[in-house]
Amino acid sequence: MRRRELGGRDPLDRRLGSPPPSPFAWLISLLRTRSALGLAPSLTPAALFLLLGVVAGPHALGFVSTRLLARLDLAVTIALAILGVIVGIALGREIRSAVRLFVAASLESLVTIVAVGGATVYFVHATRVPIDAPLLVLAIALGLSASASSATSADPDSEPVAAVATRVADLDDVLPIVVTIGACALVPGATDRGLWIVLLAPLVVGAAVGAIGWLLFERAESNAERVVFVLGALSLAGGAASYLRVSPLAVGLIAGGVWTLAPGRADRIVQDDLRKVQHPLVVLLLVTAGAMVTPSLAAVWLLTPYLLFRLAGKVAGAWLSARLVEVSAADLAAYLMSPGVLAVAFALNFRQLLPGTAGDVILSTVAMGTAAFELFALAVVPHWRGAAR
Amino acid sequence: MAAEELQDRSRRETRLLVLVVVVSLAVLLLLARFRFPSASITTAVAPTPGPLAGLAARAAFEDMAATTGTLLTRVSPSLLVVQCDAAPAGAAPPAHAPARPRQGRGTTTDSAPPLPPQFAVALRVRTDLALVHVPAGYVPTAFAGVATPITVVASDPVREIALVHTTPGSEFLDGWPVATFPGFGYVGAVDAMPGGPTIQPVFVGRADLAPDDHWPAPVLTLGDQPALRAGTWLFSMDGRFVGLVARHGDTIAVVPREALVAVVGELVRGVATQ
Repeated sequence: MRRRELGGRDPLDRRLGSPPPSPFAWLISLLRTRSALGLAPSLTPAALFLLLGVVAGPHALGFVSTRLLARLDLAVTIALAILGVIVGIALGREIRSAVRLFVAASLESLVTIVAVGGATVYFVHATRVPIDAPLLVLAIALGLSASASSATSADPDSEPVAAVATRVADLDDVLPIVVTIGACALVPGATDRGLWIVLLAPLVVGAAVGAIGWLLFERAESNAERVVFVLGALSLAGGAASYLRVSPLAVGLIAGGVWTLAPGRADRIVQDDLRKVQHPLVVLLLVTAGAMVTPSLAAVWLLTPYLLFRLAGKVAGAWLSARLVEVSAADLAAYLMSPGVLAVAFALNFRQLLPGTAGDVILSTVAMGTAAFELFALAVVPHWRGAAR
Repeated sequence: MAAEELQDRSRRETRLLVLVVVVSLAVLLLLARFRFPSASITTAVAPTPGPLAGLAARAAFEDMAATTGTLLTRVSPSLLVVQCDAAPAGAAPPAHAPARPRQGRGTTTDSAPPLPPQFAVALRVRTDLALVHVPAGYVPTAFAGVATPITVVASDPVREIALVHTTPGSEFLDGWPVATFPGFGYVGAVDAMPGGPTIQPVFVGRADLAPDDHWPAPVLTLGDQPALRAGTWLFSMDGRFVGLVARHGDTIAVVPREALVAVVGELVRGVATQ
């Protein structure tokens, strides 16, 4: 963070206004992803990497073949579990001190889920889009993907709403991940293994992984051993979720929450180690998602209501929650416009769970929507580029 | 002054919210007036071979596997898996019903074990209708993975087929390119598994056209083909429709599209006149 004592902007600077950015600084600022989930802003532009994945994927140049994508499936699952852990750590830290913020974030995401989900149900029913999955699951999947936000890479000191928006974006993924647990039970064939297993497995596995990590991390005798423990625990979370066909995001959320709430430094150890894999992880998810995009009319058909009602949901959600966190609704909505990697993560999760082409349709719609909103966010969040300098 | 500014801002934000919601709803209602186009456009694009793929040596089996996988991807949107359970006791015995074990003086036993459920692939033939082969002694009960019972619109026990009601989708049989199969080649045989349709490449030798009393057009007789069974849908390896495998006396034959279209028309008209 930049403070005034360290050369930040003083009141005179503010009055004089910011000098125009150099072309290079402007380009770099465009390419930085937002600092959601406590991650540092990094050079991972979602729109660019999704496009790269599409171009390299099996439906274009074919550098990433369908066989390679199938082999990447487990890596994607572990990456989803890691994202869940990051959300869980954010939740564990904020829940004690910022209940009001958590309620506001959950309200905002709930409104978006309902808006996009409801519009999808009506639109699919009215236009008779052939979908080989229960309509409710499709609507929930699109709603959950739409609810994700990645806030802003603005300096939190630049203006109060940027700091609030970043924390709201950190916390607004918690409710969708919890809803994912219930949505897994609606997937065809899920209840064959027992409804209680589907609903309780994320809690039990997440708590077990959390307990294992809590017991091991601080007892490691070297850094290398500790990294092995951390990666082993995260692989266990992803692998168990994949085996039980439940959401790895939910398993990771519980494990991350346990590490933060339990006494000790487990959460800080995990966060330090994850910082090293953050950039490759985000790139892996985005490029893989881009490569998995399957051109279909159904995906394009669903894109318009997805875009419109995500916009409406975010504006309405920000309008409702801005009163709780005492910031401008319009500014909050603008900052929350960028979906980030979590939207793609939800879509990848449902693609793994749903049989047939429905998962491909969801992922393709969300990937196109994410790229569109990332570009849209550049236009509606004018502050962060100038303020971040 | 500050309070007025806040009020102004609040009003402006409320107007923005109302505007966004109203525009979204209006566009949604407008778009909802359109119907989703047909299957030929919805079919997912087949993956393209990699630019460097030609440089690497590939086994013929890998090519065959890739081709059959691509074929299943192309036809899957028009296929549904239907679960068929044993017909309830008292139902009229179908033409080819399997003989039950007999006890004593030739009486059929009532305590015979129930027939296990079978899965069959249904092909979309109309917007909301799918055609499925129903083995003798069975009735379609549900789509695989869907709890709600299936609605049988019409059935033909002699030909062992039924028309079932599906969620509105896109037509298949009329618009799909048709292959005239000359024999001595590979076809993709699509069958049902509980989790979805599956496919295997099958080499078919001599195939001769022969009349069949059950069908309004000649069928392709195949001779002895252990890899095929009644109810299997056949496609050429380049994705064109070949036909439905059905019983032909003691062997099997492929019922071509024109015969299926005619029979579907008969069944639909039969329902309409009832």
